[in-house]
Amino acid sequence: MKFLVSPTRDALSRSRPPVRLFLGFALVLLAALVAQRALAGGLTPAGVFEYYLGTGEPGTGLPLTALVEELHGAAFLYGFLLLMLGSLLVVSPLGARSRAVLTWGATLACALDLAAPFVVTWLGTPAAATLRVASSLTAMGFLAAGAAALLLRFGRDGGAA
Amino acid sequence: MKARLAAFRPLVLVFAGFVLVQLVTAAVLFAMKLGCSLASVEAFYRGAPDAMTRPRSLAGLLETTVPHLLAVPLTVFVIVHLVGWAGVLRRPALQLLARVTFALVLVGVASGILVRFAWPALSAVKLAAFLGLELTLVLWLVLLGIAFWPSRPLLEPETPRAAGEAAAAEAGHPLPTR
Repeated sequence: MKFLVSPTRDALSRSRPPVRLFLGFALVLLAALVAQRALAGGLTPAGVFEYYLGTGEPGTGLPLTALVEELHGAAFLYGFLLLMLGSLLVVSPLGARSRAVLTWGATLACALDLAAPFVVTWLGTPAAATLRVASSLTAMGFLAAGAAALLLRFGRDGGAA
Repeated sequence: MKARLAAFRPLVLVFAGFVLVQLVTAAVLFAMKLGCSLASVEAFYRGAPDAMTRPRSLAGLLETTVPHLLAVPLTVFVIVHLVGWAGVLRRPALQLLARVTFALVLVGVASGILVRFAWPALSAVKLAAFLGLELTLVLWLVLLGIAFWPSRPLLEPETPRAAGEAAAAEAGHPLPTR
């Protein structure tokens, strides 16, 4: 990380190729995640409701163990993506406001997306299912926007603006 | 803390928060699936006729083991790197704690498979390794908190060159490297 995010013009320029490759893979990962959620019905309130609550009758929903497993895996994924993209944003030539919006927007959306399955399960309402769809799309959107902005700007025009 | 690390402070604290979520969920999953007694850990791996559960297959164990062999060492590696970078521990202490943590990861992963296929009594080792790893990772998170918490005063950069780099980076005009 020291090499990749060293705030000198030359170091940033040298780290641009591997960083761009990583960012490309990050975008592919996010696309795959969106596809995975879409296939599991995660992008429609009805699909989310059915996935977490089944028919709505007791015993037909997702077990608590599966919910915790989902949170466990997602916390790893989001934690690493936020650390990597956030660290690159710190030394990118993007404006301070853009960096703050991308970093904190992604952080809040990811935190909300981690909590959303529990909210859906506990509230058990279609409105809660809509929250999960919104949190998924917002989290992926912010992360993808950060990766895309870095893909275009990282290592160009020196370091942090 | 070196001045140029300050920009990474909120990110590292957010990362620590997400790792904490992983630690808590890992503990919950362990308690729910393996239980907190030696007998329940052994029954999880070797099956329990009374509870109508079957022994774990190697394929089933590897399904959990393989992603954890990447995720846990990677998480430990990044945390060790960040704590080392911030300089809150002396090198011998950092190395000792890192070695203990990596050893606990390895013992934890290996003991599960060994309970199933070699020696059921190793369930005690599995339980101890899991608890040890959780406590060690909590200690690492405390160190991250100490290193990156906003109330910690920023120290002067260690060399004139570093001072120049930090100032130039803050002003948006990074210095060229030598």
